[in-house]
Amino acid sequence: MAATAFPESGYLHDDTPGLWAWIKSWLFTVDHKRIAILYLLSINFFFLLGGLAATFVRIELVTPQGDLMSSDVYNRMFTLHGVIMVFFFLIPAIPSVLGNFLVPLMIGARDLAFPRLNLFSWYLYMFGGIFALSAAVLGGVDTGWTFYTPFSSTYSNSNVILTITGAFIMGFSSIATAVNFIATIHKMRAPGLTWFRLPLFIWAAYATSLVIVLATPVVGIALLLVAIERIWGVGIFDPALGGDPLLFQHLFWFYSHPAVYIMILPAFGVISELIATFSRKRIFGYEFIAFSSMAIAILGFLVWGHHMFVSSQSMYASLVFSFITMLIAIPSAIKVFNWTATLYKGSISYRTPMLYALGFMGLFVIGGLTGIFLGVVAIDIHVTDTYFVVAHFHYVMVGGTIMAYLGGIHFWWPKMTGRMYNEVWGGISALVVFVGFNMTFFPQFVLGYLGMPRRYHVYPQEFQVLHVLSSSGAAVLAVGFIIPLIYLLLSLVNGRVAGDNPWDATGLEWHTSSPPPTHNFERIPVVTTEAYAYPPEAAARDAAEWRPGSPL
Amino acid sequence: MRNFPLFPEQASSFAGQIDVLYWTLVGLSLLFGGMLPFIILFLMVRYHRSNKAADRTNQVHSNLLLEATWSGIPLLIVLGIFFWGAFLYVHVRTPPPRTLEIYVIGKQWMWHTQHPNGKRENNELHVPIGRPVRLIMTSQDVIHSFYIPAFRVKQDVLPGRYTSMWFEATKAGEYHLFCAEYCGTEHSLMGGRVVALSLADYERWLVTPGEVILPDGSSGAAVPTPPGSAIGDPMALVGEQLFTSLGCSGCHRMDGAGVGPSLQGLYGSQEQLADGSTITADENYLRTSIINPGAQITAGYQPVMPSYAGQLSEDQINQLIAYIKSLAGDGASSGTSGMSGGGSSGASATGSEAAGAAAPAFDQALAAQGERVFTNLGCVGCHRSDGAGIGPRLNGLYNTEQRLADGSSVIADVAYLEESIRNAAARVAEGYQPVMPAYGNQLSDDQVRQLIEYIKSLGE
Repeated sequence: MAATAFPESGYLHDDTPGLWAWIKSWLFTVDHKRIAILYLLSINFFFLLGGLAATFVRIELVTPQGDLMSSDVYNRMFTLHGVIMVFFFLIPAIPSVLGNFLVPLMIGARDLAFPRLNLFSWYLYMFGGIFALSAAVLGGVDTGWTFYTPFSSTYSNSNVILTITGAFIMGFSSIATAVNFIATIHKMRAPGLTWFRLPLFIWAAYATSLVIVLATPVVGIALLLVAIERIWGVGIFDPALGGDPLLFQHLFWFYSHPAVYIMILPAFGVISELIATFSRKRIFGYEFIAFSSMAIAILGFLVWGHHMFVSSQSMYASLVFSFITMLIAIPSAIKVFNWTATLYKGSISYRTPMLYALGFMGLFVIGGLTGIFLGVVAIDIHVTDTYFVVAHFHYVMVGGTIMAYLGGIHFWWPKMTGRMYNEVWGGISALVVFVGFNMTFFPQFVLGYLGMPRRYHVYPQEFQVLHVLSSSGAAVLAVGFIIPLIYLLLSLVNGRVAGDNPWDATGLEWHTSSPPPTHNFERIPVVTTEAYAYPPEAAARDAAEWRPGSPL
Repeated sequence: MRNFPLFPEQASSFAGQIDVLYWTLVGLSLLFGGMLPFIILFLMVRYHRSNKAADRTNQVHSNLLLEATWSGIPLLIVLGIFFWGAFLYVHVRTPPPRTLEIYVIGKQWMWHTQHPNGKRENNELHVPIGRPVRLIMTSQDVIHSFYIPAFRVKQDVLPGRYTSMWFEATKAGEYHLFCAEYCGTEHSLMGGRVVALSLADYERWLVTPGEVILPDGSSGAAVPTPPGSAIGDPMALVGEQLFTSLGCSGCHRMDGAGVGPSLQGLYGSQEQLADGSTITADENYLRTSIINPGAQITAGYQPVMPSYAGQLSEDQINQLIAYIKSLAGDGASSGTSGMSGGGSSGASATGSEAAGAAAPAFDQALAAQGERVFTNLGCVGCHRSDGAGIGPRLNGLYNTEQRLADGSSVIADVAYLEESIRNAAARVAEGYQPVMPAYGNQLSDDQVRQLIEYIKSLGE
């Protein structure tokens, strides 16, 4: 049967008769690994769609005039980019794809605690996605992904309701996944797998899940209130109806700032795995990395007001939010320092996942440091709502989350598919993404400090040079994203068979076959060691075994 | 590369201070963020698996002292930065006691400003250098943000309340004015320029004849020039007339014997409320008390005042507040002292210099009034004379043949113009969207006639 030509074994294997049965075996699967593959396909589809919208935005911005599209189309384009990328790519990317695949494998469980809920979450995701897409197809939405009132609730003439319905439904998908992770991590760890033996990816997934469960309902409420005001004219946010426009911003950022950590915390988890594996030694400061994730998850709830320094919130509120924002920089710094210290006395290899991880560290440092600039109110007044902010959050979201996502996909690809990809092209793609990314977004810091406001369709002449630089970088970046798509797909056809543990890693997921059998483990493993339990001489031995011609 | 700046101009008293903090942060970032990649690169090369010579024995997996160091030092630095930034922020948010107050109204998609002597501007702001200026801002529709990069100031402008910001320009010149909060279709065109002038130039500009457009409110009634006086402060004056014509003065008697509290000396004072709390009587309190009087009742009075929500334009509220502030009388008010306030006469006479030789016959006086209505209603924001607006350009429109969106054509006569004002969607010009609101019966016949005469007066 054609559908089973690839690959040979494990959870991907089917002996179902006929195409329909094969389709059903995927669409009604409750296997967390198959659901992860469903997520992988749909999330990458949305990523490409969001990327396409970004492409149009960057092409338009090559010239200061609005010549490629009208201002209405431009506004719809950047809104589409933002909504798709935030709600349908960044938030679910690592938890729903890598998390779904890895949480049970890493803790030695046969599946998540609630397999049917897991499948339901994917259907919710798709259902929300269909709403958002139909909004785009039926004429788009022009509110920006932030849906600020009263523009979104009263003034916009676009498909606001459809879009926020999509985001609203998608929120429940996140919640379902998060509840599943929390229950699984609490109750289904293999014998001997104590909390402090957990891989750091699990700590990150746990912290993320807590944030999702606590914060997502608030944005659901906020979006619902926008819809109520828009449909029935109930005065909630629009002062003309007796509402308060700032209320929306408070509700929205109470979710959307923690949402930033929903996006970046799982990325931290991935990077911890990669750095340890490719240094061939225990991670430095395990407890500090684990607790810094928890500290970020908690403090992340107390800083939403730093999005509102010029919104007319009170001066004292701004000072408090600024202060806590300064504090939250510290746990992120702790992680970066610990990763760096892990490299010391390791045996480092430049495999593709490690290149992405090292690229992540460089970009995330810039993203994090510029976050401090924005946390200082006096500077924020000048640079907020300019390209400085755009550059900052792309350094964190693209430079952080997407680099980690790609690094993670490369790292676990042999486990997910049983195949190795082309290592040379892998290295090239990591390099192209890194260079293209910096070309695209570094000029935007300069643009922002010069005063170029964001969401501008036309702009003054003097900003053109930097915009052209940024757009050409975006072209390089796009190439960097296309290359992995090609060689990863090719690897399914002609990739080398990976074997169970191609990276010589220590996690439980590497103790089972690649791809894993449907029930993950023949025998539930018993854990007796800490995570990353490389023996002290592992690094020295790895270096001693290296020969010219071995992978770098 | 003349047109390729890397650093923004410094044109206000804040700009230098904020830039010093900014560049300090850049320096610290380079120290930390710039050093770290080199450490990583060094470790990457030193401990690459191909380097067999490197010592890999005696690995360390945690070190409390190290953790404390690299948590503690950054913590101390960011706290230092926080306090520096906090003091600067408090300074930026605290206006000095005497400022020149300019009222700003944002609307999709234009800025409207009014100076204390009544002079109005659209998408421009003239300010004197060397004097603190305070902007009192509100929006007629969605949230906007008033942003002058060269001054390093930005403040969101919200509907239904006042926000304010202050600055002191230090360098004469023209600077960008942007709307920084996304506000819909023409967001990126909602801006213009800020012109910083020397005090003398500013005062001259304020009274330049023919440019002063007297505030006449959306009621459309022409405001008589104050008889033979240079009392100054026409905003407050118009406000006083409104105060009388709306009947406010019946209850808010200055002697305190009225049904409502006396407004003498109210602005800036601590007001005791009926629920026992006190509140500073600032612009927002005054505004709330006009729009929603029941919300904050002064102690000792009954909640009997009717709400004026929806009955006053933002312009009129500004004027009323300017008047109430002028009653404070202790200099806490608009601080027009030093600004000569006269020179408002003569505005109505000069009328329409826009009339070209080819323009059809029109009534000069009506056209001049029409121009004010055109400005005050914000028509000018969309029907831009350079043709770049979202509405068609009106110059040379009258009595010419116009193609319509449905493919037919029409002569733009008086009837067509009137219909387009009252019910714009009926016949939309080719290439434009039916986005203009219908002014239906919001305008009097007189006002429509004035508008039409003004449109007639616009030659090519």
